[in-house]
Amino acid sequence: MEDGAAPEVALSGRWDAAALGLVLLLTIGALVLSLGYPLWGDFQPGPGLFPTLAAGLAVLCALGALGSALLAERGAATGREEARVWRRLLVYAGIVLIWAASFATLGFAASGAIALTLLMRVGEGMGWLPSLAIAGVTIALGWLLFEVLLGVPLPHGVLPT
Amino acid sequence: MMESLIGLGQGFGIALSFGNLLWCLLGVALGTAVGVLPGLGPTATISLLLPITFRLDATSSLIMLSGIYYGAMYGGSITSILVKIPGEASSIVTCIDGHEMARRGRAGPALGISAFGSFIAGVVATLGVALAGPAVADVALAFGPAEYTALVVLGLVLVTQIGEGPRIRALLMAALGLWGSTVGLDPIEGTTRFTFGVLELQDGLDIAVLAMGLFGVAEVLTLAAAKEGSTQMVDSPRGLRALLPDRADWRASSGPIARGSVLGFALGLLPGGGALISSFASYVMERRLAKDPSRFGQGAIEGVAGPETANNAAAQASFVPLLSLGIPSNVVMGVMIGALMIQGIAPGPMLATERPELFWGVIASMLIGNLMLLVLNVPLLPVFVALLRVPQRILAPLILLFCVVGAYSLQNSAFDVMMVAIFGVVGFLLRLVRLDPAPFMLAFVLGELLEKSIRQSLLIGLGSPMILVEKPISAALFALAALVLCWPALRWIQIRIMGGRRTT
Repeated sequence: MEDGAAPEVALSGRWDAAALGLVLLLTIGALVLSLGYPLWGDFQPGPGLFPTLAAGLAVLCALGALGSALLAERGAATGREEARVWRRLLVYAGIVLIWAASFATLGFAASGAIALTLLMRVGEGMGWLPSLAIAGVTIALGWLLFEVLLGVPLPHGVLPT
Repeated sequence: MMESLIGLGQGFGIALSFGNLLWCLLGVALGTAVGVLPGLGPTATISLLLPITFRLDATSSLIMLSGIYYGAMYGGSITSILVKIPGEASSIVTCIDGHEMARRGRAGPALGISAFGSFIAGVVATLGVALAGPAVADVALAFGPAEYTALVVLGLVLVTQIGEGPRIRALLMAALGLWGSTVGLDPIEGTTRFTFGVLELQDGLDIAVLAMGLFGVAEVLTLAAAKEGSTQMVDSPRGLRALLPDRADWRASSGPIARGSVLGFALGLLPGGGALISSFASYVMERRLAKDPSRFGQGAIEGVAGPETANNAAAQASFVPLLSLGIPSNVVMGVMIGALMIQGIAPGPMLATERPELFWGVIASMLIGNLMLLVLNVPLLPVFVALLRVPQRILAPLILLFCVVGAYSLQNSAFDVMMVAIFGVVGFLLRLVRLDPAPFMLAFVLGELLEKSIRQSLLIGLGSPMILVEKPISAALFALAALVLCWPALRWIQIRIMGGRRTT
């Protein structure tokens, strides 16, 4: 890590504003959903009052943040850097999401071994053998710590119990 | 005062017995381990260990259980500093400067000041509990829904002052955190909200799942995305001298430790989010008091010393409402009341007179337990810091494994694993647009208390919001919140006036 500085992965102004626009849409969605619940009834606040207030505040803040992003001239990352960020994110996020989705079906050991091997082979560019070895040792240690020592009933999935 | 000192002396006699020392050691060691592991928090551990306490006497069982609690408070800071995964909600603030210090090769001093600060806070707060506890316990009773609303509003204002970047984005994240806290059953009427028919969402989003996703998984994704041939997660120092806080660190930290101890003790007395609010109140206070506030967020040791001290002091102080009034100030204390009731003891105002050996034994054990934490953890600093030498390509999958299995262990549910993964990706995307997850998390934790307090206040006030500012405590807290919120504008006006005077 260069000089111990925090990794810079912030988006450039154009994408920053686009992302904040998306956040604004999400907050509007939250507000609409919140208004679907009663705000007041029988001389007392209803279940929709607090979420509506929170979502309303979020909409206002998102508008403010979007406005300041549109006004600001910023260029934290170049187009090439952004492409690299997205490529690596897709690899890592894809593997993590697939791991989570297959955790119950394939079980802790099989899903973990596949995900970790892929992470190290595809994400980190290691050879197949070291990737398999590290994944195997990590899964074995995880199983020992959580299932044997802490008694967490990890899913066995495709493997026999 | 004399009576308290005699009681404390009697307590030491009980806490220093071989058996109780052993239970205390077991408690703090387990607590530290539990704090380090994401997912398995002190509440779950204490609940799991309750059956063991059936065979112990009440004093020994409470000594062990309280050791787990304050041990976990310290343990939570280890992962916050090293890998940016807060073990406990009150350690979220420690992630900001603690992890930044670790990045800059100063993990040892960060962990060291956290251990020493926690010890000092523990001693100060325990003495506070012993000497003034029963007298100040009544403060908790003065807090009704209106006062809690004001306290949480003040807390939320402080939340937006944390972290770098534009305040409007912090406020946006805090608002989203408040909205996120409403997912699940409505706390007053039990109406299901925003669950979209998903049964698992009825209990709401889990704080541990959010923390592991938004901080742990997102940190791995951030490092992966930003990586340019680096082999380690963060820089790791070598040599014992580099591992301990030096004279300059101590000079910088002494004020935050002293202020954090007092602040943490005062806020810890209040049922609710005392420990959490104290940690970020301390952070904001230190940043405001600093000569160069721009260092905060860049690895300022004061940003670790203050919050860590405050949350530990608050953890100890939360025993005051429990032992003196029988009021649990948080979920862990609620489980401890259960442990006492199993033994046929009802905590309350009469506990100190009816069961002095238990009351004073537990208080004395806290002093001993804090010393044990220090003795256990300072020699382990090289071991903790050595973790940073593990190459990133090995440590990153390990963090993911801990997050995945930690999430599963909460309720043995694959749904939580999926939520961790989703929030990990969301957390990474939020960082891309400079939206700090810390205000989201802190507001999320405070959200339920705020909603409950507002709605109860409005119910009591027959729908009139004036009830919120009619009482002196709540009015004062609201005024303080307004002052904190308007402080930058006031400073700006002051600078303009001063500047104008200088030029004329």
